[in-house]
Amino acid sequence: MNSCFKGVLVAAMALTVAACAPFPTPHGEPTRVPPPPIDTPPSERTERPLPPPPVQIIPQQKIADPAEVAVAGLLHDAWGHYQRDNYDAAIAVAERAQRLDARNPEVYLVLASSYLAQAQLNLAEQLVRKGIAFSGSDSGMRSRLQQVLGQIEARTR
Amino acid sequence: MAAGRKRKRTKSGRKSPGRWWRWLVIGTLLGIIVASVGVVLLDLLIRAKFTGSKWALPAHVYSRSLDLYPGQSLRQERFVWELQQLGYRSSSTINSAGEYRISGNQVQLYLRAFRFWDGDETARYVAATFSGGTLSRLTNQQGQPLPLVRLEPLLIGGIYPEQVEDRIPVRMEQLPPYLADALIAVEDREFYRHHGISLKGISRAMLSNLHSGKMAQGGSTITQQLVKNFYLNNQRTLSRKALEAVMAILLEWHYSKTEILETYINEVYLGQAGKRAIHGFGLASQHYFRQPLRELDIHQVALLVGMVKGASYYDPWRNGERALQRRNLVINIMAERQLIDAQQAARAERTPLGISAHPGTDSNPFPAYLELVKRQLREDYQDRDLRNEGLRVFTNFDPQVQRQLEESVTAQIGAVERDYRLAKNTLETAAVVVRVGTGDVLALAGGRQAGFAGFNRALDASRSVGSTLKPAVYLAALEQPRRYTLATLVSDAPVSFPIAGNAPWEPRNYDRTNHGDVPLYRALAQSYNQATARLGMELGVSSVVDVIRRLGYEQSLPEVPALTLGGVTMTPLDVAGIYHTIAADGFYTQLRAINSVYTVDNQPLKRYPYNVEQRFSPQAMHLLHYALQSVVREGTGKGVYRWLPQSMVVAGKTGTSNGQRDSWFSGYSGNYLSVVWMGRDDNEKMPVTGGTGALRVWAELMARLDNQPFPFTRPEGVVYHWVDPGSGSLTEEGCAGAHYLPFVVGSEPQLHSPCYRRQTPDVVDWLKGVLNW
Repeated sequence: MNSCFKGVLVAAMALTVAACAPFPTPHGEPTRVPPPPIDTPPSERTERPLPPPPVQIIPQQKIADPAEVAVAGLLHDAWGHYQRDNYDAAIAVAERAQRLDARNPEVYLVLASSYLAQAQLNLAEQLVRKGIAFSGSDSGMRSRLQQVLGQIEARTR
Repeated sequence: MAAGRKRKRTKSGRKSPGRWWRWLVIGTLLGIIVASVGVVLLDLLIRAKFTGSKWALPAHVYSRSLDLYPGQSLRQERFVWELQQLGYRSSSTINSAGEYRISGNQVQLYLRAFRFWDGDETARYVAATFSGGTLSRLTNQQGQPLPLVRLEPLLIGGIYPEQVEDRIPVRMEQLPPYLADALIAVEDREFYRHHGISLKGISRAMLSNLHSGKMAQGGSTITQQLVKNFYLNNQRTLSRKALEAVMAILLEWHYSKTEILETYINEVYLGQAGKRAIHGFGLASQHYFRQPLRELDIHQVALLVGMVKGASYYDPWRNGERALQRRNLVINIMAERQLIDAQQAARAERTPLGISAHPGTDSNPFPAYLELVKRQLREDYQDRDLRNEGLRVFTNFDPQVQRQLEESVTAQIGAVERDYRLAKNTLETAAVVVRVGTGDVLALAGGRQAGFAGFNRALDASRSVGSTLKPAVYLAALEQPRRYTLATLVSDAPVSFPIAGNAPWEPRNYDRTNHGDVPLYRALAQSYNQATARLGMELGVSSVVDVIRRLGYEQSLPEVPALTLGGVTMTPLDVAGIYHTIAADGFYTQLRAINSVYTVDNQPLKRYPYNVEQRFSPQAMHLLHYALQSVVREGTGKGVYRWLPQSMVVAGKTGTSNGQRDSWFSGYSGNYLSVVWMGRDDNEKMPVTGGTGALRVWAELMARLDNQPFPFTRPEGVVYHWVDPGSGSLTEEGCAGAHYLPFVVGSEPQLHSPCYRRQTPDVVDWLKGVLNW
């Protein structure tokens, strides 16, 4: 009985709290939407129903990309080309990986390393910066990208 | 002297038999010399054209190749559609390249071999299993998992002169079984025995012509036919026949039977696609069956061989029954000559013609995109090379995205016209779709009518962008975190800016209402003109110009106050370039339609590699992403969630020009950026805004695409705080109107709202206290 009472009380309170939840209130309706044509009843209009109230915009954690395994295989191949000094092939394969997951920092590590080997230092530096932007909490990847950046800076001095 | 003249006259007057002989000999010798010179010249002509590149080959343009991997968002129906576009054949058994079979939620196929820039894809069996809009499993014939495979690209067009012969050259080793033998059996049984001309054939033709009283039959060998098609014309005169015979003998003298037959197979006329003449079996196979030549079956080979006699007369689309009879005749000849057995012949005869519903060589099914490809190619190649060298151009065009774009345009532009009681075809539209991060242009709509090669609005309609450009003003502000944050209050009171020699510039809000002090993010979300103009003028027009330039717009900009509200014209492609820099976190990349170019021999010629330059800080871009999400969550763009689920994180901006002459929506998800313009070609007013016009096409398109949510991850150097938007001060979660806003570290508000200090206990703790848990 006690647990039942608690349950009912919790549910009631949760509903009350939810009802009073401070959803941010937009400053009136969007200003640029004109009223629908007067002679067209709403039911005949092809616009869809209004969306539910706005929700808070919050930053997200990086989620694994479904192409992770495929990209890993391509990057393995790209590194293979790189090791054999076949930089054009390494770049081509890394770009294919980029098309599957443009936010994978290792893509930019391969590209930057290959362009560095081809003495295209400006592009290599920009690619490192892009890789760093996507490395998030992956300190190992960030460190490898920083190493390439160090090599670029050493060659531009 | 007079005696001499007399003597001469006497000599010339006397005609002795010896002198006649002398003239005859001289004449014969001269004839031989002239004939020899003629033969030598013919020989030179024959060799000059036969050696090296024989034909002017137009450049052929291909789409991207579809990568397949487990976990990929891909609906089974769309995958099968792509197989069909590529000419894969539905089959009960999967034995050879180009066949597929649907078995419930699994599609089994035999991939075709293809040479890509970065490696070869071999022909092999693949089974793709689908569940809930996802490619869940990819296995080989032994059931072992495959991490990644790709389909070959789709031929999407070519670059042709006004009138042209088109062909896909093939080598003998690329021919399907039976083709060469069937051709010889039907066209020239003595091919391997004669030396260019067949006396037997000529005698037979002469008898027939005498009998009919006209030049009906030529008795031509394959070599003679080749000479006629390759070097001469269709005249049926004896002199031309003689010339043809001499040239045929010369051709056989210099070249092997295999070389002659291969050239014939690539030269012969086999149909017409508009102004384009279809030459050779390679292209004919694509034209009639949408299949590579090597995959053709007996009945298909027989149809094409039969059409050599008269491609127009036996056109299978126009004269199906006649083509069927001719095909079956060829099948019978093949059986007679024991190229196939009776069982194969019977089966082939029973098979329908099997031609594709539409020609597989539509020269320009995607004219808007092809125009972009041509423009980018012309930066590196001369027109002559593009029309003659047979270049193979691989693009980033995505037929799946294009299909969804065309359907979205068709559905929504008509719906907008109906909803606003506009006459049909009042509105026009243009759209660009780009892959976020790579800058690959995936699809393009140049107008409302897909496939119509008219005015390409995506590339050439320079229209007023209006509020589309406002993010540049806010980005200029957010790059100065010490002065501006998303919580900074901006006055939306009426503004007036003096203009030298002119009336002051006094922009007004769309709703003619003043909204007081509003936080920066909300001013953008609601697209307030007064607040934005004030902010832009505080920053200085030159700062805004600088940001627009860094976003990627390279053409001239008017440095006037109206620029802060988008008082400039741009094309949809220009706007896509700007928004791509935003979607790609401040990294500029030139938009690319072309991936790589190969020679006609499939040798890599040029790549168009990815290039990038960081132009904005990750912190400023994160704040702008937030503000652009506010546009679609609570601002002028919130209509997008009529189409998209709430879980789909997207960001974007509406745009409406003065007098509602242009309606724009530009926005991005995790993988796609789309820019849509809607308006009238006569630049007249419309009853729609960015939020009620272009937005609908954009949202429908994004709902149709396999989108990934925009990955809105917090970069280093950004912190989040709860803020009271009314005052711009710090507050607490749960306080009225509190917004969770990002700040560049060090730029957080210093003031606290009253609610900040009245921290309420956590609801769960309070409940636990009440219930003594």
